[in-house]
Amino acid sequence: MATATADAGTLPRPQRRGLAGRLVEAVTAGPARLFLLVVGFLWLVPSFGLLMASFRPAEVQATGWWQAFTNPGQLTITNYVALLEQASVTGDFAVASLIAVAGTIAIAAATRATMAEGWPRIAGWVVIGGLSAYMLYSFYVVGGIAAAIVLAVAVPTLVTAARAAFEGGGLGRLAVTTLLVILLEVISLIPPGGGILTALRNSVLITVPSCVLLVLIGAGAAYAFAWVKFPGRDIVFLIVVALLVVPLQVGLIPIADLYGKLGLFGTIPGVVLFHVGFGLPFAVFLLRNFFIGIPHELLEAARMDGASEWRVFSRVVLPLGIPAIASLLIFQFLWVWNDLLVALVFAGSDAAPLTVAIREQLRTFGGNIQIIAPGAFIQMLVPLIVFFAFQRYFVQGLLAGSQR
Amino acid sequence: MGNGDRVADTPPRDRPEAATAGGPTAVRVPEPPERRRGAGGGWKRLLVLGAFLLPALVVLGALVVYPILFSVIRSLYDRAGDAFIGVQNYETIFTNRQTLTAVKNNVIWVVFAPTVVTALGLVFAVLTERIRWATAFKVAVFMPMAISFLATGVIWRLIYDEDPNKGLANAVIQGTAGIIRQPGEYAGARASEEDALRREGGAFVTSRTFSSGDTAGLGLVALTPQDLPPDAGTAAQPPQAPSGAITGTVWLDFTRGGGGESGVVDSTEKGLPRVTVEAVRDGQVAATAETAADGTFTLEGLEGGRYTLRLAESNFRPAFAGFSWLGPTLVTPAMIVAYIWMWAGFAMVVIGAGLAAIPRDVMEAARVDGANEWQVFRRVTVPLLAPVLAVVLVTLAINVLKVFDIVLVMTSGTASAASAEVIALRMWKAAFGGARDFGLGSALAVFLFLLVAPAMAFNIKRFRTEG
Repeated sequence: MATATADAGTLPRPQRRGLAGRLVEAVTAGPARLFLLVVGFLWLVPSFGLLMASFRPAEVQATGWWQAFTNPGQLTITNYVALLEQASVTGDFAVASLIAVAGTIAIAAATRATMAEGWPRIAGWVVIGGLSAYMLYSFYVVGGIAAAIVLAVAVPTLVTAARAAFEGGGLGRLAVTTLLVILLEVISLIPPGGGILTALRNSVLITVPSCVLLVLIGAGAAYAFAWVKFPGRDIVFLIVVALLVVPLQVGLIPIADLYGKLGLFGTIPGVVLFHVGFGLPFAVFLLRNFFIGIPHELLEAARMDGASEWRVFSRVVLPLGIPAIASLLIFQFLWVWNDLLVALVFAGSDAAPLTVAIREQLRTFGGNIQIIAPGAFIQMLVPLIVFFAFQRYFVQGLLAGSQR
Repeated sequence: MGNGDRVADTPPRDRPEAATAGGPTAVRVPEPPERRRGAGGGWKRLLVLGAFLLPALVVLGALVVYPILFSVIRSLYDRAGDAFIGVQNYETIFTNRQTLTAVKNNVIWVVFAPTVVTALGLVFAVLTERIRWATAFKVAVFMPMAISFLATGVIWRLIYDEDPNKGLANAVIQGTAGIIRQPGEYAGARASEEDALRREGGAFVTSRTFSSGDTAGLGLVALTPQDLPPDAGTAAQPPQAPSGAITGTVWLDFTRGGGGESGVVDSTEKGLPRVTVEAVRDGQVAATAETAADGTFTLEGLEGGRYTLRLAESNFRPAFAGFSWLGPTLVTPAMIVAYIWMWAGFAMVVIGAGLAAIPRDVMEAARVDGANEWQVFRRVTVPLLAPVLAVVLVTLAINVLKVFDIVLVMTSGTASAASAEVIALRMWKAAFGGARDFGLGSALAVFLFLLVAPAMAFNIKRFRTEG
């Protein structure tokens, strides 16, 4: 291998190696490189197969996806168009989507303007508040409580991004966030009865609130475990550590029973709550271990200045804890988005997310590939985007120990 | 785990070693000093504490702790929850055929999946250490971690399709097998007169014997005209056999649209080219010939004696029909492969972080002492990585114990749905499938919980020693 010696230079090892040593390295590195090349290729083929299969219409599914290499005409968007056509786009949906798009852009602009010099701050906030309230109301009318919750989550995200964009001077982040928020809003407004598309909406309506609730509840508890002394703290925290590995199967029957009594069975809030419950041990564990690493001088200084416990939490601990919170958010997002079991048990047919909707089609796998493949591809595309965008936090969370 | 204190102040990109799961270098962070507040602050403090802690404790209590207790008690009652039946549900787990199958399959999963994944992860982590495009490789292998079990199941069902025209695995095998063992041109053929031409193994053998100067008509049926090669000509009568030779015709003894006499070469019938015909005497092949486009052949060099004629097996060798990967015998290993595809990246990344934390000079010292790469790996790297490997194995074992989606997705609607079940799947089917047996379902859930309990102890122990 000609590049073997060049590679050796990147490694922190002594430069002075004998000719024999370098020869041994070249011989051993060659096969290893080939092996990794083959393995890497093998690892990509399965996902690529699904991508190809999702673009091949029903008529050609009797042959394998690789036939499309010699016959590219087999690749069409027919399957995806068919999925879109399942949703009857009602007038309400169109109106609410327009409100979502216009409102989100207006909020982004207003927030950014508010941050600028020479604008009366109070006026800016009134505009933002008014727009938010109006959007919230129209979402509630069209999309129900769950859609309103998604919006309630989206607006602060947007405001934060706008502030950051202003302070950092970059518009790129603001544009990306605005687009993402718009996408989330429009998806959350898809009317029921639209097959895979409605399932996509349900996936969003289940995933977003469960992520936000988990961070809110988990961060508070983690702060208490890390920085507030109280009797029995260590014992209670050990119990939380112990709960890390409780299989969620243990929860299915008792909580089905509980939800039956509370009227939550089959609803989206029921599914959300279950995910929050079984996500909490990991959330508290991860965040507490992160928070405890914050230099205590920072907290003491804030407390000396007379800051309340809440202020210390929100102004010192939370901003410093953003990397850990990001890890947690990504984990919970992937976990909930990819979940099948919990949704299978607790989500009724109106609340079924993508995973459940696809699994419904699996009974006749061979005959339904033109529905299953694009559905599964959409299902996996969302976490892949999250994965590639936030890979660093994902790895960080993994290393901090996820044993679910 | 227990390393958050180290992650806290170091972004992982700058110092990957900071994130060693269970590394031996935990930094002890000093406890915050006790806060002293005036009397009267007590109630306020309690209120603040409650605001921070209570929501989590309530949710954990109601959704995690209460269900554990509920499940344990419920598992001692019958299907509907009316009668107390003691440990009968637990007895059912080990006597009922379905639950026993599930337990057995889970054992296979737990024995093979975590070990193979960890071993692969170790190999990948070590090999990528010295490759420049390691990042690209890591992304390719790590990516499936973000994909759901459902999508993984769908992806691998596409690969495992039994039909070699549709399933990639069988298509590849067919492609390679076809080079080594070409399928016969006339697979599926039968003799037109079965008492004259017997099937023997894959070959056809005549019942009577022939001697020099004889002619033989060897008719086959059960081939459609589309099955014939394009160069198949109209069948000819066997040519006159010269001395020392046997001649004959191998043809499709079937006249389209009816008519035609069985055992006779009729005018419109087709000859079968390229059939290998052998003359056999006392188990020895005395002569071999190949049929022409009109189906005729001439076996030469046959002096006295009587020979049976044989149409060689290679002509009738069936094409590769495809392994039934998701059939009852292969389904569990096939699913474990899909699982490995998904989780090898996890093992690679965690072990890779552990590897980065190993002091270089230890390995270098071993190399200076004359150890070769394998010895360094076996005697230095692996022992130093042992704690990380243990964490990966335990994490994977817990994960595999609860495996559910991938089995449900890959077996649903197939013949192996019943024989591939695992505990979590049986639990779901027992409780939420048709049976609605909450007693057995709870017992299975508690059983799973008990299997995971040692890992719980492992976690607590590790947490207490590392802080």
